[in-house]
Amino acid sequence: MYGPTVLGAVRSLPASPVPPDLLDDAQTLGGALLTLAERFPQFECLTILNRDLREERRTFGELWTRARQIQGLLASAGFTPGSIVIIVMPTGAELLAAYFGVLLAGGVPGLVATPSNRYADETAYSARVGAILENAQAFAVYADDQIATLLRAQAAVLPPHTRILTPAQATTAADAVRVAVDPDLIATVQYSSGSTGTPKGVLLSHRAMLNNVRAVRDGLGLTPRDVSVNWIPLYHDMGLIDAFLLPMLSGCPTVLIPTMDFMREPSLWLRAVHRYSGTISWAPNFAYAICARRVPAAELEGLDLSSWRIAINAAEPVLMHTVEDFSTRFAAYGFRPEAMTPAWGLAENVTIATAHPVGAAPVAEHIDRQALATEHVARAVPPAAGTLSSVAIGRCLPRCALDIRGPRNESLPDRAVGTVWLHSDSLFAAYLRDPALTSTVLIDGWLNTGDRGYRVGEDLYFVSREKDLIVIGGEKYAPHDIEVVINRVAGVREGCVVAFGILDDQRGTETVAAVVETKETDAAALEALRDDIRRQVNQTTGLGLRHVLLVAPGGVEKTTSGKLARRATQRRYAEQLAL
Amino acid sequence: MEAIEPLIRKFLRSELGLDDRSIGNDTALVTTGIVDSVALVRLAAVLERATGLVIPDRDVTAEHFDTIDKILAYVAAK
Repeated sequence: MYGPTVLGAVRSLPASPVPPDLLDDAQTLGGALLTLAERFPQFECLTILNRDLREERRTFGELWTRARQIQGLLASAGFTPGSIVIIVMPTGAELLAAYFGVLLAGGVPGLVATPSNRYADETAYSARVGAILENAQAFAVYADDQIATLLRAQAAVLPPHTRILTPAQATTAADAVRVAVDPDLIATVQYSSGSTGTPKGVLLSHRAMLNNVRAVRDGLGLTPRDVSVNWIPLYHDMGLIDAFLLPMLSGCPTVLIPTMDFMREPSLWLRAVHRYSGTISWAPNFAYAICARRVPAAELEGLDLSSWRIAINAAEPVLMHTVEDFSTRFAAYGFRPEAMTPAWGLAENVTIATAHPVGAAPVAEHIDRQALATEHVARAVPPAAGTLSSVAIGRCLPRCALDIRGPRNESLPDRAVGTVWLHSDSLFAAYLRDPALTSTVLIDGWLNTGDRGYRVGEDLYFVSREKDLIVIGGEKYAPHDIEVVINRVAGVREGCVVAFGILDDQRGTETVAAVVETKETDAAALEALRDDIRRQVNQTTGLGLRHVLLVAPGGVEKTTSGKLARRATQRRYAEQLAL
Repeated sequence: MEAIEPLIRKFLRSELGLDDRSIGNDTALVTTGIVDSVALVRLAAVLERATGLVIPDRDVTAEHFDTIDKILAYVAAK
């Protein structure tokens, strides 16, 4: 089913008629879309490719028309401008139209993950959506029929009177277009980080979003001649901005693959780059590891990746051996090592703030673990056992600045490891309904990113996260959400459970482990408890627990004030947790 | 239709790099993270291609896929 015929049998993408500087004067996202729809209604800007190699195309005119109908649906439901609409649907033309439709209604769209196999338990999934709807005080949730049916059946865990709207209801365009004119209005709320119980809504203004899009465009040298091919989920900041808004508003032909289709057939990504002569694509490290290690050669027959000039590797730690494995394997298919482009960013800056220079091969060094741990200094040493490989994750994009700061907030010199602070013209406005949290990270125009790293000249290197977060394939999980589930399992000492991520070099991402206290000592009962914990965690969160260490009371480290000490616990059992 | 068990074992070896001799037919694969969520959907796709079955996303869970035995039972019941 693969091979040159399938790879080649395609109606080529139209050349973009959009001038490269069109976005320079845009004030709002809706305004940018209006300009594109008015001037280039016939341009097929969007291509959706699924794993049956069926494709759907949309012009700016068609997207605009559909967005107007969704705007009309909101208006007829009594929409109040400024309120939030949560959109839950798989990647497709309707999702993009819905995003714009909410903007045209003067609202704030927020994209939330669909119930994939990551959420086996429909109630747990719906409760998560419910917590977001509550936090957002959302006007409505806009979902496809399947998801709407699921949510209606789980109304008990949604806020009372949740309004669920579906595409079939959006039939009539609104009377008037209401394009926001004030660039400082909120344009989007991002819910891709934060824990299940307490969602964290990152509020982004039109100005910040367009500034970030322009900074990324200029930093990468993106032009309407580039072709963007992506499968990353659009509810993730990198998906929404860099897979969707960046290419589309910059006038690049935009190819999107539904995420689940990539998961099932990872080679579809590479074959799509070939098929459309893609030039830019974004993915977390694990996806490059999958392609380097898991994709059978038979699926790559006839593959030509020579068009690919920017392969962004971001949203989770970049591993040098993944970069090398991918570049080595795909060199035979025309992939150029200098196309691999490590980058770094966060939702609070809209997306990326740094990227490795385009056209230059990735740079890595080895640093001394001992000096890192005891002196907080990244000392470059020759590669040897026990040294740590560290990849440069980029230089500041236009209009961004970095500062590495120590514990007393003082600026640190090159190679000193500290907290990475970021200043740019695309910083978020606030966390929704949480001014206290906002003021802890946004200080005097600088953002405390919560990442630890160091600089060598202009290059930024990532060392660790300050917060206990588990990042798997670019998706963030709060350890607390896993611990809550384990705490409820009979036989577990409630409150004496920690979960954390362990880097799996082979998979190029993290895997999950838990240390759990129990009074149980019988071997068979311990085995049953371990199975029970694994089953409950998987059912609620979709995650597998690579390690479940059952320990006697006192086995989980706590701080002097009684808080869980996840990292200390992880260090204590390091040997038993080796992969 | 290819025999399913060898197909699963080949997947564990070739795509996940596991030594499948250590994996029994009742070894938990999904809840233990041996097969992560990405590998799980990929396994479903491999099974689909080999059997011609359609395996909807909502079925691709530990309930049906946690052990080789469970997968065999799931495929047999389709």
